[in-house]
Amino acid sequence: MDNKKPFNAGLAYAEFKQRQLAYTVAAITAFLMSAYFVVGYFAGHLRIMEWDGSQWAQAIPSLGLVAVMTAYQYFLYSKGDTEGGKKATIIAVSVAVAFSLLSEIGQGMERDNIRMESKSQESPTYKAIVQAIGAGAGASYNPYSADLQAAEMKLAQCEERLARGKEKHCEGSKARVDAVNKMIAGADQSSQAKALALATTAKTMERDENNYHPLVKFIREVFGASGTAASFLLSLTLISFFEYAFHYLGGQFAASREYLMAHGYDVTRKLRQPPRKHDGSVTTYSNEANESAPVSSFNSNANSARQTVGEFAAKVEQGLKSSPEIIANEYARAQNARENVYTVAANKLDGIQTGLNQASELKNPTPVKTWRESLNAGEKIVSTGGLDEPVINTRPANQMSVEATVKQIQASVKASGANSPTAIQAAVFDAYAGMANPAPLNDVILERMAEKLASKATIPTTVPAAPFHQKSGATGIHNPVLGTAEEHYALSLPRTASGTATDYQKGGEAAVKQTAATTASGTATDYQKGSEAAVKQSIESLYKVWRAAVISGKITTAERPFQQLAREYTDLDGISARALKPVWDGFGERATREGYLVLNPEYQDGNRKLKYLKVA
Amino acid sequence: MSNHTLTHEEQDYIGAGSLQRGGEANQSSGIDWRVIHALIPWLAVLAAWLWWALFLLIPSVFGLHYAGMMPAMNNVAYTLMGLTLCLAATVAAQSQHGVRAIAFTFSVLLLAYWF
Repeated sequence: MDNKKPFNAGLAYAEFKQRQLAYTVAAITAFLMSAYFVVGYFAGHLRIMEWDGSQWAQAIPSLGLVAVMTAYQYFLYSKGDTEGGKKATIIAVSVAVAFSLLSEIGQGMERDNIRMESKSQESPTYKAIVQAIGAGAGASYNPYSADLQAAEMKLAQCEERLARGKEKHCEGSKARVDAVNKMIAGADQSSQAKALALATTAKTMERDENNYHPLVKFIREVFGASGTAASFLLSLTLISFFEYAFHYLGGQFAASREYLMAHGYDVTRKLRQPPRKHDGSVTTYSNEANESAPVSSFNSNANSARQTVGEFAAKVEQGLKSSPEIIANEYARAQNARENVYTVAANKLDGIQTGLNQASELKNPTPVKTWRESLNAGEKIVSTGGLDEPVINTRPANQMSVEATVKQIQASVKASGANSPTAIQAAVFDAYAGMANPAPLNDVILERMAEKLASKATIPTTVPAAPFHQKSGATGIHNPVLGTAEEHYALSLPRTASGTATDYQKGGEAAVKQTAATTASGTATDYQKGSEAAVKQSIESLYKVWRAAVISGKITTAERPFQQLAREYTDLDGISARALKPVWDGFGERATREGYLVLNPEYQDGNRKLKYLKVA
Repeated sequence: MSNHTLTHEEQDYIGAGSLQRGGEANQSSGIDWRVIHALIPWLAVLAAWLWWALFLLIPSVFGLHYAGMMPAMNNVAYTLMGLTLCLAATVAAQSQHGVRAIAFTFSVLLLAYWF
């Protein structure tokens, strides 16, 4: 992802695939590492062929548990940003990491244990002791057995002579037999004691902590810890590196995906099929591909910074000629927006009326009907009439095309020699006013044209401070603060009944203002007078409020206070912090251009310094 | 191969800094330190892949050293762990995250020694 070189979609996609592969390998490894320990722990051992039913019943849920936790890590790490609350992110990562660390460290410690036991039991001393125990336990030989035989033989001979009267007594022989028996019992006891001592020694040597890995022994000696604790610390170190690598690969994967998407590319070569729309229609991208000419001018992927005004105008012209379905599509969107506006307005009106009725309940027991209650049977909040159908007119035969009009304006400005932005803007308007039968272009388009011409006429003296994908003077994806609205030139659909406003234009203050502007120029299309204007107006007023708050010192220039202000001041509650970031960045840039703020030289992407500072 | 998270100015600043340092070194010793600085993460990555192959992959496949006394699944898991660390080191070097590249290489070394 070399930002100094021009973007190359093929290379960026190849890099994305590489990182996806690396990240997937990391995820599979994490799953195996955790599963090895967790399944072994639940099922008792990992000799699958020997498992009985209860062990399978333990193993399958434990596998599911590990799969869920690994998937959680996979999606969390590849999310690509930590916005939406740092505390929540820290907690989420901690949960994921804690599970992995515990399970993976368990496996590391088990490996250390196996190694230590194997080495201990292979020791020659240990083997000799075990052999000695075996020999002692299996031995039937007694060193006093010959003495016992001799003593008992003497006693038998003595008793035989005693019976014949040749001996007076046999007490001496009996005493000898007893003495030998005592010696045998003593020898047995001694032998047992010796075997016990050998077994104790063998038991100690079976798990000799001196046989731990040298690294574990090192930790034991340095920290004075037990073998288990040292093994834990070493495994913790190793697994921490792995977990960080997993997290890092997730971040890089997300970055390469963002890099592609920021340049208007999807992350797959397969054709995505969007779901059915709420109105029942089905649209595919393959259908939309036929609309490429006009859409390429409007959508946020169009690189309008590299597109001349003439090229843009040509695309619009081509689109209007060739793709009336786009107009119908946009019209349907506008209709939907209009119905939403009316529904919201009806909700608010009914809410107010209900509140008033409740407040005056004591004075006036008969409440006034709400708007909805006052509707007759069959009536709807949104009226339906002839204006609900799109009216597509063709350009009069003697009227200039948009492209020709733009080219003529460019030529006139060039001929006028204007070089300052103000002079160029004046020259654009003068040129347009002086044309006999130009294509209908409204003030917004003319101002935009003047800006483009001015930006070409002047050499930028400062390096833009915005991130690489935000280009000063550009629109849409290249300068998200301006929104896609600025990139949408008004479709030049001349209206036959210019004095008649459609129903949905009557709702909302912004729409009323837009209607007035349209009546004056008669050029803007219907659907552009609704939500886009309101959003632009809302952003403009938010900027003023934010700038005032920053200058007065009520808030800092940081992103977080801006988000809070934006949510308090506007109805942007549903918009994510991620979506607000470009707005904040754009505000900062704008305030910097206007001289209220300066870029903080100590700021770097990712550090905790403020990006913008107030001008002293 | 540059860090896309940096702005143009930051990249220019870094580039200018290294040029300046490189220029000074060039005048005194004739060594292009820029090239050496740029190569260090890649040398580390090369070492990481070598260690991984010699001390993790081959012992696991042939049951050498301690790998012979461990369950096969355990060896596979740690070999994959080393592979992940090598991949992370490579990605870090590509993204000009030199410190991370070296840290991941160190972790491969540690893992290989412990394995």
